[in-house]
Amino acid sequence: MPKVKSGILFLLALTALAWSGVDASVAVYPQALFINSPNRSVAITVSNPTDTRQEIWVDFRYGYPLVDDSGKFYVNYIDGPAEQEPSAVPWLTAYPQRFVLNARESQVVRVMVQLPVGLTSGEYWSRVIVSSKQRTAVPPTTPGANVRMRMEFIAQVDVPLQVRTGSINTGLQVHGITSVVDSGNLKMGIDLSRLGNASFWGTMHIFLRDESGRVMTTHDQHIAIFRDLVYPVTMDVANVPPGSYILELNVDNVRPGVPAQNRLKSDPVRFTYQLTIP
Amino acid sequence: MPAKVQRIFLLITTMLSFAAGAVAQTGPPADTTVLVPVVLDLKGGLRTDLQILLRGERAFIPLRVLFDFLNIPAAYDPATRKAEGAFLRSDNPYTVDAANLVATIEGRSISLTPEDVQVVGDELFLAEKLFGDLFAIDLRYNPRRLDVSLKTKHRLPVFQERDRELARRRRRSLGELPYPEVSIERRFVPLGFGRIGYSLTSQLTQFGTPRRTYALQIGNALLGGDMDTRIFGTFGKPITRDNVISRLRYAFLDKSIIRQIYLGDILTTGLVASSVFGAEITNRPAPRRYYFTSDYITGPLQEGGVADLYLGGALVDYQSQSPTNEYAFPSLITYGVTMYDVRSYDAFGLERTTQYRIIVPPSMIPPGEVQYSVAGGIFRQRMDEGYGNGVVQWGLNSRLTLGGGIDFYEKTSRKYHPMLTATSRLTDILIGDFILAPSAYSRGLLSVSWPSSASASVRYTWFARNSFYNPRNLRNEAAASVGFPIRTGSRRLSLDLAARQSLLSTGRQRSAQVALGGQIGIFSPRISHRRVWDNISGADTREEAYTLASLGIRAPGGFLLRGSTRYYHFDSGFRDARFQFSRRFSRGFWLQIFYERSFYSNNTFAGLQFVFYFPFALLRTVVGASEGGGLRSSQSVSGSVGFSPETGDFYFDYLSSRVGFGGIVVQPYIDANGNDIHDPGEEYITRGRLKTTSLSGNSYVRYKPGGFILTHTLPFQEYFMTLEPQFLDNPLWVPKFNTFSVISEPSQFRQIEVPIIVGGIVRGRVTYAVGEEEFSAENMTVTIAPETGEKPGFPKTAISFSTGEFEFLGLSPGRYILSLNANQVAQLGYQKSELTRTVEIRVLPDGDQVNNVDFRLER
Repeated sequence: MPKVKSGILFLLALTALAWSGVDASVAVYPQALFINSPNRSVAITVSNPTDTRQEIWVDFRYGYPLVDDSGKFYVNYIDGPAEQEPSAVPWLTAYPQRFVLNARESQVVRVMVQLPVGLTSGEYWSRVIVSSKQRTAVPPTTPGANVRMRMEFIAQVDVPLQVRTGSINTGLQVHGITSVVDSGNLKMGIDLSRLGNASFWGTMHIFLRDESGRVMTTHDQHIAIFRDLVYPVTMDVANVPPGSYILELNVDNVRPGVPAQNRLKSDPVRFTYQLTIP
Repeated sequence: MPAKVQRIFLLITTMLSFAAGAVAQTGPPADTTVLVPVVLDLKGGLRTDLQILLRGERAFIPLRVLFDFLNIPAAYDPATRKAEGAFLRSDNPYTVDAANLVATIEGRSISLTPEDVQVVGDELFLAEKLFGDLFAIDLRYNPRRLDVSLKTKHRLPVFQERDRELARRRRRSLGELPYPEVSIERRFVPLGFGRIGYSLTSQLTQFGTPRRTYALQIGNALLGGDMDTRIFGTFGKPITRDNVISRLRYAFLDKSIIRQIYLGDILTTGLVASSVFGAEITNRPAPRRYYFTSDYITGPLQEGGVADLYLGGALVDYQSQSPTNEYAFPSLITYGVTMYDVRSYDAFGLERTTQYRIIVPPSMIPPGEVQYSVAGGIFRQRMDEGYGNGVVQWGLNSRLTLGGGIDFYEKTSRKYHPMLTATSRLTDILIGDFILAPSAYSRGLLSVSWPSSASASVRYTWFARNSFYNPRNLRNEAAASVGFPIRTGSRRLSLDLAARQSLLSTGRQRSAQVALGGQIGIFSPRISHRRVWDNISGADTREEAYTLASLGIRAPGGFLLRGSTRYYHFDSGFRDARFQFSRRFSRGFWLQIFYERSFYSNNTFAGLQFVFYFPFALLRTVVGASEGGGLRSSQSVSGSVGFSPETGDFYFDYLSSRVGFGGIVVQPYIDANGNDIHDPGEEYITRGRLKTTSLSGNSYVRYKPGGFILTHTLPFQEYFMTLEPQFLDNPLWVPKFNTFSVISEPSQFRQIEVPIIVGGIVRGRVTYAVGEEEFSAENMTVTIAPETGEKPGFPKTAISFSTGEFEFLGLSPGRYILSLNANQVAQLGYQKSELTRTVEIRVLPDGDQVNNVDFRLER
């Protein structure tokens, strides 16, 4: 019977959860972290925008964003990465690792890196996972009298961290573009290779020009490229009349969220591609 | 999953589906009503349970229950079937009359239909849509989720109350200064350069003689005092004694009977402030007086209400209902104008703001204090006449300061001039200032200034026949002024009136002035008219009048346009006109184009003005041409330079007025060997944030090359500094002192080296056992304290997380005792033979981590 009782409580909790529209989560700033050696740490501000008390803890995992077969981004986490993978996870520590935030409170978490001696120049990556769960402020009760099943909703925020040491460089190369027009949207796959030994952070500026060079529409896409991939971009061309056009792609190293001191110089990228909108 | 559990799962799911969907999807028949429990969700995280009424597809929301939750006043009388209250403002009443089917709000009357209202028992239910029509509150019942969502553009009182509650938690204490662990001593500097301010000008004309001037102000330390020297003159002319003003000051910051000694060129404190070469001894404090006294701010508070006290827009205190139904906030009264706002809220959150404006003139002495000044020397401007002066003032209470003194002049026919003075805060906003000096002049002044900024003053002065105090040979003089702010919408105007009558031994002079000006959108107009009536030596009354008019326009593109003219009503009509266009092109560059026309001399002058704000100097250049004078130009460069002999650094500023201000350079370093001295090889901290607090407020300083630098601190002010550990690059670094204080010395840059020690971390876990199983003990209180002695900031406590883990960061090296709360453990029914653990944080280059300091509770 105890198991059945626990099962009922579990189901009730599940149902309640489904109805209550749980939105408990924390906010993390900034959304991209950089540690440039010889600096040893970077600060993250974790705030609790909700009206409930939250227990929060910080973990590190190795991973980077990729695109799946359906053209959607996902973070490819790799536990126990191979030696050649640029993982910074073993060298990272968060202070504090775990803490509690009352409603509308915030906490500075300092992520510290201890680089091993003789490390090869380059950029090393980690994802900073900030997890949170609601924590009710109940006083401790007598053990054994309070054994019960309960369901916990854990929210996670994932922030990329780049640790840079020595000489680093980056760049981008566009190999080609494939496109298709569907329901007024121009869906493109931009075949990119990342150059150098660091991730590329920047913005793609896309211009659609007619044969006389007039710009018909534009689109800006902020990008962070860790590995070679086919980058999916969708442009609204519903108001563009059918015809032959030239797609012009310019990439620079400026994007919101990356302060100037963390920008890496890179060669400008320009690529053109001819297409027809039916 | 066992089959039995699966059956229960299906049963529960089915039951819940019925509960959620039975009413929701089909709804009751159109002619019957049912009460349905739902959740009301507000964007922003607030929610409550309430019962709504369903009739067919239509939902009716209970008015009083909803408004009670939203903190909007609502009263419902079942007998008359009428609800009423005030919506968002106390002057915005509303009514909903279910008997006569009419609602009123904001002067509007809205007819209702029987389908809009439902009455069940003592509750009035309104259709969802009616809340939108009446109150602009969008309520939506969602039968699928069994909830009601609420959206509105209004700032609802329930949110305001929540924000106020959060602000109350974050309030900063009024006038509270941190307690410093270390106060850094002042030092004796026999000779030290501090700052120099400079201003150089050059004027060139096509047909005239060039003129080049200089003005230097030098602030330095001399024999433990601070010396201020000013040298000014014209290039090419010899420097004489008249080109130099210099004074040396010794300041004693304790409460001694002598607090300042001035030597050299001093400004007297007698009936007329004059510059003499001599000395002054006084117990007037060297740092600027900031606080005058403390007082209580009182007022009525409604039953169940709360009052918040604001100073400068920041919440500093709050009080809830008291037995006397009034609030009484302890408050600090500062010199000058102190503005407090009390925002009181009734039980429904309706706000009433009361402004308190408290004025303390600088001539008042804090209650209970006696201040004296004795000065003497020679008047350099009056053929080296000897002068002496003594003044005593007594702060009788917070309303009245009395004083008396005497002026002595060596060579005048009447040598001694006694005086009595009184300054009174007749009310918080009405000030009286009185001087009685029969051999010089006597004066009565009343001035008042209301919270709205309206002001008025009246002054009457009687003069004795004395060529020094009364060079115009006046008998008496009366003056009055009044100012009215005119604020409608975004318009900010001010009407100022002033009048004066002077009775001279030879006649009478009267003047009156009226001015209206301010800001109206992008326009800033101003017009003033002044009229003077002179009746001297029995001649006919001579009348003069002129009008000044100007108009400024903030034009698109960042241009500022301004035109002005003067019109003389009895003499030559329009006198002159000036037009100028100016624009700021970057942070440091202003360009101005101007055109001036003098109708009086029939001359025109036009040209350009450039102003460059460099980090180290302000450069101003004017180039123009006039019809009669040809080309003219003038250039000026000004700024100041500070120097720290300790760091060898120079500090530049484009303001030449920095001489007299102090400077503080904080350089934290890693004290690897723990000797509190910066040794060669010990690393300086280059990242972090320094919080500074003084009587004048808080500021935060980031690292710049050279240290954490406060470039202009108020002289003799005490600054409290905290190097915030959370902003240090390494969480294991612990400042040796949480807070230290230092006195800002005038014109001197003080270097403070702050040792940082590499601390450690203690981590552990609290668990308890049930049978063979071990569970995490959540919410257990763990305390850490030094094994011996006391340390500031200790004991510290941590509450165990859901995993039972706890941690203490930033512990300086040493031995500590960790302990569980014995009462808490006893309440749980568990015993532990060892409720304490001793740990040691060692001095390690990378800090020390002590893990697995676990507590296991057992029966």
